Amino acid sequence: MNDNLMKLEGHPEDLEIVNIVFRSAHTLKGMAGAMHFEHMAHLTHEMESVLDELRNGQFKVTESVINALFESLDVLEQQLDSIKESGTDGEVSIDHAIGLIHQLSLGSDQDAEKRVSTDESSSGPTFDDATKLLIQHAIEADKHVFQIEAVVHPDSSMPSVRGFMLKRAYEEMGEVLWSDPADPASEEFSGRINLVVATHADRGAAREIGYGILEVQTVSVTAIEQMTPEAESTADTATSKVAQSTSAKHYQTKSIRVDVDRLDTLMTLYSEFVIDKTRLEMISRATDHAELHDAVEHLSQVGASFQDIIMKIRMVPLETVFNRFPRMVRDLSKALNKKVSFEISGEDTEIDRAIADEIADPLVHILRNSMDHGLETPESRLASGKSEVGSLRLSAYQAGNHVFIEIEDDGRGINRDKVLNKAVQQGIVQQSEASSLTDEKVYALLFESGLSTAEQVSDISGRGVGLDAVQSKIQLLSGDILVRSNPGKGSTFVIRLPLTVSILFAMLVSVGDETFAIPTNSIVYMDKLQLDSINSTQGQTVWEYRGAWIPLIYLKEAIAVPGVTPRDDLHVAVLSIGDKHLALVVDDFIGQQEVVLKSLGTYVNSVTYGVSGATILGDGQVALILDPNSFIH
Amino acid sequence: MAKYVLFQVGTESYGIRIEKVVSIETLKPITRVPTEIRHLKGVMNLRGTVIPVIDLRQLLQEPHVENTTETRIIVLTDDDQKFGMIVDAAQNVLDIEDSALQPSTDSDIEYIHVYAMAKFEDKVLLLVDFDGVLVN
Repeated sequence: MNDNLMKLEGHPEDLEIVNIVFRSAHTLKGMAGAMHFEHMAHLTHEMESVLDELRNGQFKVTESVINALFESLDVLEQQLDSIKESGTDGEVSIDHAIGLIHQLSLGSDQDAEKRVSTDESSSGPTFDDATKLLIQHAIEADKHVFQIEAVVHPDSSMPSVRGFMLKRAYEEMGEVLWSDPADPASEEFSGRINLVVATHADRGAAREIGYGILEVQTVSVTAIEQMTPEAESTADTATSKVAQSTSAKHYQTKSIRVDVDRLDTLMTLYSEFVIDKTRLEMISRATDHAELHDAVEHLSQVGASFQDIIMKIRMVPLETVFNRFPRMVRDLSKALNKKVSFEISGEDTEIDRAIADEIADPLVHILRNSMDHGLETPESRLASGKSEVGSLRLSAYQAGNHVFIEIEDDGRGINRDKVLNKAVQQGIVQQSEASSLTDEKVYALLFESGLSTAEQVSDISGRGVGLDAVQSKIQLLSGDILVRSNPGKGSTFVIRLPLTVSILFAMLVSVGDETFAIPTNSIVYMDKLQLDSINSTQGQTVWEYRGAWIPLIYLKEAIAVPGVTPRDDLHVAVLSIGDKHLALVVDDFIGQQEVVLKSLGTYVNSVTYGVSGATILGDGQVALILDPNSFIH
Repeated sequence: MAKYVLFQVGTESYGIRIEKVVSIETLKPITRVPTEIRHLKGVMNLRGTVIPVIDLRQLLQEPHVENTTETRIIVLTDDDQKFGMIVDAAQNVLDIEDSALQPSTDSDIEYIHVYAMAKFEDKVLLLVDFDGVLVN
């Protein structure tokens, strides 16, 4: 793309080159979109629009157009670096490049020009063109833009500290677009700072913030309502900006090796901190003490940042999980007499160590499933006009707070009708609603336990054995899974996982002498148990919830709590699992708190039921975390 | 020569290779887990890690006794998984010459491999291994 842009610069009339660049931008946009790099997709979309207009002759290739495109290209490069570095594209600001492009589009639209130039002859500061663009962009985004002049008291012993605090306070309020001096914290700070801030706050609030800083003498706030950048000079600034941004590439990661045990200790200490923090929050709420409120609130904020850092430290690349798969696939392909080309990508994507440990089994399951039921034998592939070597791809990438893992095969795909027929036979789906279900809903049925435990489904639909186990594991990690399929062309399983799961909100409940934790996100309703709303149907106890009868389960029976004395003042929690509901009876609700998820280990997990993990309470005792899914079956 | 940790369950004395032992703990609160496995007493908090606790009395089919101040939890590792083992008492670490070992006359019980006997003072020690106790 870079080369072609240079060619275009040399031959501005050559529409063929425009076309080539357009196609590259389009492909990039598609890929960025598919990989959820929203910022990159947004920028390439803007580039594509400009190129499209060029292509259609709506405006001419000028120096400013080329510069805007080069600028965008540089930002794209930085995004690529950022993705390589951290897996996200969000760390590079695209605003400036988009500002440049927007300004081109605006310039081409003469009728829409209603802009009034700013009164620069007044005593206000003068901005460079890049700043003007930023201001214009912020105004277009419906933000308030204020020019703020603040003066620190001349007697202040530390004017540079006040200047720094001023700038930082405004950075918290909004975006500081311009600052003179750029670095008020320097020794030379005169005590007078000029800022341009884009914010959603109003003028009064902007003034308040300035006066909120100690030793600030005066704060004057002027709203900037319009800003016209000069198109002619933009080209120059853009060029210099390019040079600047290129030199700003200074990624240098320094790292040290740390024993995993120490990280675990850190995590454990943090969990104790969380417990005490929760207790303090409760005490603070119960008392009317303003200073305590403030201190506790600050503590909570520090705690949140603390957690963030610890979670980041705990991340490991998925390579540690993926590296065993090539061998497994190779062995399996020999055993099944199938030819497979297996590709792995994104193995450097990082995820919480706890999740990495747990995700291996589900992935093995899906890979086996794809090899066994998805990919065809070489003969039948050749017969259906495919290459005899099947393709199996395992890829991972991060988008936002999630990691996506995809397993894609080019096998026979899933037969919608056969899955549906089976589901209707098993009574999972009503015949009447079968035809109206979307493909996605139909494929989701594969994860239903009723459907997938039936052995013959695998022969009919090509899919299904044990996928319910895969789904429960993934849900336990607070993730989800879906499958896309194109009959005859293949299937893709997409797993979405949170980056971290170690800390969750839970409601502590008691039964007899025992305490359990229920993940708060699965509780939809809590109340005293009204005995008259209990009923019995088909041998199952049910309870009326919002006009429907839902299964009622006594926790003491479900997990055989010994020696519970019967009592009549029980409580009930309604849990929501997918689209199903369940009423769970407990003795008492103790209260909600943040808990740190601890693994029970492979052995305990395999021999217990009804629980998915454990946590350590304030008194050092272990409380089990209930698995609402397990009560459904 | 090898070092053994000496412990008692019921009237018998046992020894286990010290390499298998992580630590010896006084009795801590144990949280029951819902399970069909009778000798899985529950889980406990070992300095921030949750580990399973096996009731050795149950495994040895000794009659149930109440815990005393002598009751200990021996923390062992098996295949990188830590677990606790409740014993009636554990006091000594002992050096035993390999030549002092005699073949065991006791047969193995489920999960417990009795591989040798040794004399200590006037008692007979059963030297045991718990490999596989965490395999279901």
